Amino acid sequence: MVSLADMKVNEAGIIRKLGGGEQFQAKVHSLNVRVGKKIKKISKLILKGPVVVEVDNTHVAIGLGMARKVFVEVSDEDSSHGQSKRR
Amino acid sequence: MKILLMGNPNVGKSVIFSRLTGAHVISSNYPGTTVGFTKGRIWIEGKEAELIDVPGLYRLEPFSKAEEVAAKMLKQGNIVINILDATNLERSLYLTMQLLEQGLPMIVVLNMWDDVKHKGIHLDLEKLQSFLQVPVIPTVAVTGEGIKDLVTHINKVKPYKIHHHTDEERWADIGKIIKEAQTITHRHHTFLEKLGDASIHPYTGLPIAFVILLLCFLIIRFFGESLIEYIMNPFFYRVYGPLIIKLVKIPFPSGIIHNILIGDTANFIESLGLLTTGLYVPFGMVLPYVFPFYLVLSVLEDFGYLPRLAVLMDNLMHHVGLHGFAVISIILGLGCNVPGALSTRILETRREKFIASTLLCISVPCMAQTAVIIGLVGKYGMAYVFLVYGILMSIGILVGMILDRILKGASPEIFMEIPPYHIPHLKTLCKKLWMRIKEFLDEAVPLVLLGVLIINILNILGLMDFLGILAGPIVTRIWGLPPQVIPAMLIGFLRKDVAVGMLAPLHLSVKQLVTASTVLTVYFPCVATFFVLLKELGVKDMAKVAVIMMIVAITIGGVINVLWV
Repeated sequence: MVSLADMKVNEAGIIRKLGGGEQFQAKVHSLNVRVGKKIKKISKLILKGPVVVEVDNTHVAIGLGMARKVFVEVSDEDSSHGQSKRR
Repeated sequence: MKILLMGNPNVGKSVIFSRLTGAHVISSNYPGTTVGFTKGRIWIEGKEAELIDVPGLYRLEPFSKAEEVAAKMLKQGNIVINILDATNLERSLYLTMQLLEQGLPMIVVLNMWDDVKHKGIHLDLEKLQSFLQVPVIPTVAVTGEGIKDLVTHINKVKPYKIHHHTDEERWADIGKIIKEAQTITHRHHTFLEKLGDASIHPYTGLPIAFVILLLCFLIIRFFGESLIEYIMNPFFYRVYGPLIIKLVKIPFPSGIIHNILIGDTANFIESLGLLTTGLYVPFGMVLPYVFPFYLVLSVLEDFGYLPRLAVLMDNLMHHVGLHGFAVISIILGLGCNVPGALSTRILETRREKFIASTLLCISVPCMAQTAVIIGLVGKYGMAYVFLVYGILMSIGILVGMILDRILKGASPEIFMEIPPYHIPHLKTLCKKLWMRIKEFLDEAVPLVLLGVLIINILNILGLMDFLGILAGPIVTRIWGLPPQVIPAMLIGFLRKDVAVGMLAPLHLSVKQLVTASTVLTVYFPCVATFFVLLKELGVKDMAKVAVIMMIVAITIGGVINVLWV
């Protein structure tokens, strides 16, 4: 399990754990970042910039500090768009 | 009867509102366009009802001021129209569940229905309706599809209530609904999606941002200059000017009224007459830039570029105590500070709002002011215009960094949806552009006229010179400007474009023009912005902002005066 911050761009997986308090969890839930959801890392901005992920066809920008509290089990196959992963 | 339009941000509530009421409200392709609520009236089978466009929210427990407004509105509603993004059903249904627990008569609207097919999503409407037990209506708000169907349901809808659920129960129910009613088939990325990805990757996104912003600047400048040179100036100087001078001279060949109406020189900026300068400033100088600015802004908004710019700029904005979304406030502020100030509502904390408002007032000149700065300072070369903007930007960064250090607490991180790119819908775009231009004219013209009138009265009473003596030391010794600049600063409280325009007859040097333009931006917000901020921040915080502005104005004017030899 790695945090969203440590995941590599284009890696996909399933969210297994959310850190932080109740308010943090409620906040990320609102954009469907929940335990059990498929997630793919789309981009990471340079210089401690935010992480962009894809959940359910939607792109979401998450600050790096928040991304550190989202833990993902990375899976090999990237199925979010039926595209094969670049290796 | 009160009908509430509720749903997540950026699902098209405002477009549906416009469709239902015929009223025009601003909508864009990013979350949080509606920060206050808009009311309108609709007629349903002969009965009048009030329709309220509630700011978007993801859940009933509020996180930001805009969401707080929304949660409060719910208590006064009789019927809820819950609008969902059909391409984002799972997430949207959370609010739907919470609303059903409230037990009000409710209609569920699946908007953006045309996108569902493109995205390879199949929704079973009957199953969805049997789960939710309330009417479910698919719509495409921008084209008007499904709106009639929605209207016919409003009168028939009955109250329906489900028992209170816990968070887990809600998601479990939603999971069940999604599993039964939605199937997604995989498909390849479209060109727009690839472009969307490219514009948020650091190595492609930053060059794209640079090109887009440069293009915007060039388009605005080209349009603005051409409109002035080929349309406005010929009209004012060849057609309108000679005509109005002749007409005024018939009843008033000379004297006070003659001077108030058309001034005593033929130059439209310098004459300071109501019918000359008073109309030339808003129509001849400012409108030619306001029009292309809002055209470009509206295209960027509806296309969906702004949230991507917010993501790219996020880490830079953190250095000044803000996060990426504040970029949108700044860009809106470049048009007019008022919508810029209103948009700070979506920022979560008081600290962020305070910093954003301060920076907006200090270092973001509105398009009206920009137009006049280009007109006056640009005569000596665009480099000087860039100098003014460079100075303003540097002050903004510096003040932001200082505020970030001394204000307690940390600013929250960015967490926002990045909507997919949409090709703007032409009719909606034109409507929005027209609304913004009209808003500008409605607000600017009377205030400019009032400003010009006040200048005339002060002149006649001989108060201008008196005021000059009063604030002399700062203006003359620290800033190195003539005391005649002081009336301009007074009028600047009313309208900054008139204030900068008032510098024209003074025949200042380039150095003095740059100093005065900068100081006029920084020293105080214009009256419209002032009252909006007073309401948004409260008396205490607004007073602090004002003090910061004045200190910065005095300092920067002095610095330019000393450093520029």
